[in-house]
Amino acid sequence: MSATSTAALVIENLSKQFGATRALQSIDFQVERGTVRALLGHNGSGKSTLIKTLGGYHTPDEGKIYVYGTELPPKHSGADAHSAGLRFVHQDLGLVSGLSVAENLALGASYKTSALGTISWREQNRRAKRELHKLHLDIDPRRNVENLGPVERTLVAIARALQDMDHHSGVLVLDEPTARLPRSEVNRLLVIIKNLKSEGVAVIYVTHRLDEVFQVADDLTVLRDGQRIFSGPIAATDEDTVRSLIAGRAMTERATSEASANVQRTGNVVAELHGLSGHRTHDVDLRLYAGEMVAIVGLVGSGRSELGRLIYGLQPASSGSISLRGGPRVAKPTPRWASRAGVGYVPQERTSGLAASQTIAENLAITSFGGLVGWFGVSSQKMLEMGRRVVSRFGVKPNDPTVTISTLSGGNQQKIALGKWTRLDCTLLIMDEPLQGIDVGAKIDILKTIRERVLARGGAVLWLESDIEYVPAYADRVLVMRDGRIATEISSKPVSREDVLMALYGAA
Amino acid sequence: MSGPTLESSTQQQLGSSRQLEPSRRRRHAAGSLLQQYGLLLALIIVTVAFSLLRPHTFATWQNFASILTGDAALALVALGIMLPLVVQQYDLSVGYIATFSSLVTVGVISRHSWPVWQAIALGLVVGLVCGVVNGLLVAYAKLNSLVVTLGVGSALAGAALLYSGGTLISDNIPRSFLRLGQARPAGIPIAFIYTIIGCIVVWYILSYRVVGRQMYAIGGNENAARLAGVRVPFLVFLTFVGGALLASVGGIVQAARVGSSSADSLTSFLLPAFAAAFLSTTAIRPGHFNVWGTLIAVYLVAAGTTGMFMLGAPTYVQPLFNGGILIGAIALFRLTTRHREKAS
Repeated sequence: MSATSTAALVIENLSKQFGATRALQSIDFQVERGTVRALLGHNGSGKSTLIKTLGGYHTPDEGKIYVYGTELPPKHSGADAHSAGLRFVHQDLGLVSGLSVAENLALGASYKTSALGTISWREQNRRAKRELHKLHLDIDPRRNVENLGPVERTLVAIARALQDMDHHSGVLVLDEPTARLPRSEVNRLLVIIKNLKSEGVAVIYVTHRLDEVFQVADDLTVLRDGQRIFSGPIAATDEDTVRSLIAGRAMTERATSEASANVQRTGNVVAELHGLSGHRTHDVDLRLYAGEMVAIVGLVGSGRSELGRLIYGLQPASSGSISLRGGPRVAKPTPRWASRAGVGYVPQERTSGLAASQTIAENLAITSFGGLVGWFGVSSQKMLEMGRRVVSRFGVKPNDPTVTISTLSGGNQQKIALGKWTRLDCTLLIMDEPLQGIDVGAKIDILKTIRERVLARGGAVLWLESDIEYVPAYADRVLVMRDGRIATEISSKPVSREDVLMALYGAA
Repeated sequence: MSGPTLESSTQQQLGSSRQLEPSRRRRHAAGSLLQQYGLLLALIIVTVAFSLLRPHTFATWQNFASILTGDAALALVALGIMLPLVVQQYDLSVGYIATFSSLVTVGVISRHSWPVWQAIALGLVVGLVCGVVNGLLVAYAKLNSLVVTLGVGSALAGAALLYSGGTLISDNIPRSFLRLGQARPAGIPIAFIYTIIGCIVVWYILSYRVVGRQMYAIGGNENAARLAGVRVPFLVFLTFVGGALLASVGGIVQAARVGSSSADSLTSFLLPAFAAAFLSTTAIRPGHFNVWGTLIAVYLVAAGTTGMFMLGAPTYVQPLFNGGILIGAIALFRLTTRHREKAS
């Protein structure tokens, strides 16, 4: 390819397979000097595999990577990628909180030391100041990164990535830098990216937010199911087209509806949110009816997870309130109040909801000892009987409630995390990405059992999800959250995957 | 160990864990039985061994009674240290709380001729207040328990020196007070009876009351307990208060037994009490702090050191032995929990 001599980054025919999944299929990808190429695609499209392959986390099965015309060795390591000039800023930024800005920069490169090996902090701070200045960031390098705002932190992470990179021989990869930024601060970052571009830096910009793409990018690549389905200059396309490309369907059939308010529901209202707001979540009104499973889908930073934490009282709401079964409005819920009122909560990180060193029965019992107490106090016998019931209902393996949680597989652990709530009569079960890291069979088991246990007994389920695969088939209602608001209710029946994806990426 | 572990985990993957052959099941069961009662077995072995070596001094009811009495207070202090450990908090002040309680009790009897029961009540209130302070600072102010209890302990050590003037308080102690520590109803040392009562109460609460189960849950994963609606701060607070009360009972029992108190009468209890609490995690309920394991551990150490003295070991052996036991106990704790994590 002749372009290898001029382009900043060229990827040719890159393929990667994980088991039966073809994560990347002969991907060609190119970034010119001084340009920004946006990389788009939904979860599972191959976008993160591509980035991780570039960074040396994954070894490609096939394909070549050139950085400014030099080919990377076939099984390149992270260090190879770094010395070739590739720089990555990941979504979690990787800053060490508690250390100063200057220290964080030094960790990324090296400390400035005197002849005796003593760190010269004066020189170190001066150097950090210079690096920050390049990004028009005027902050004291001695400040603790903890005390910086989100945009400033992102910029510090970028400064760290750029500090030892030659602008004319490196490529900067930004992996969803704006996902966790408040809307109002995104522009500041975009301006800086444009500046970098004009200074000749080549940038790969991974994002879910289409409007940003059209503000900052020159070129665009869309992946879906491991395949490159679009590549071209930004001018050759528009937001609607890109959205359809990501969702995978023709532009003509747009079909999300605003008619949600008119949908008639018959059951009783189990829970109601009145203008609930938090950091990211704004003014969420929602009614959940007995016997329905409502999925709230949203990308990272949409406020989806926060909504669950606000309802369960794990994070204080800045305004708004919650009422359960027509009861009084509660503005400051706590986990204790919520759990006693029949709300269950299964957190996103499985480990934070389970005691690994304790048995299945002990983990299940903790939600309530009602029914487990005999004449002498808590009865181990009753706990075991209860444990056996839950274990057989969910098909947990091994089907023995005396087994320690840490010995179970992820899927079986998740069944326990859910089982501790479903064994009670839940008014409302909130589950945040309950299917993460679980094999397919277990996913379906879990969803079916939840429907049987909670919905059939007059409860409601609030299912917070970013991966939409199982949502259309198992949710009664699908709401899409964007920028902290419930943006759309998908009312078409049956709900289609494409409808949900279109709404996720902002089709009104 | 990796052989059977590996094999049974593949069995599970095939979904046939029920078919685990009977012989292997039995071996598993025998292994866990040994793990559960190994400490008790060690106590029996040590007792039998010294009894055989010193049949006329060690193997006498008189000696057994003196061992049971001598470490009754230590056992109570060890229970006091164990309670916060259940919720994964450290109380380094128990020895000082015990000392200060005993000092105040003996002090008001000796210097101000207080009635015995009022003096004991005052001693318990002192312990209660210390526990409340520890509990408030750790559970509600969210301060690091190691630092808080070290600070409270140091302050109490100072207060004890101030109150005692650095001397042994032993005058004017009425017989009625001494009887509370020295009597032997039905030949059983009364101090040991207190200890057994303390053990039964704590055991019942931890194993059969909802609060106890919730305390273990906090120890297992504080966040999970909070998510399940457990009042984590309140229960953590309670463990400090309960622990301090047990420690002051221990201090008062010790004072009644020896008929005196000083500013350092029970401060040396910290290390052996910790050792016993950690040893408990290797027995009865492996991987968890538990009452009967703590009691067995206290008397294992007591029997061991007494026997060694009788064999003529010099005094420096005891702290050496205690230190060795403590490190051995936490190493075993680590091993048993790791084994449990790996085991299928």
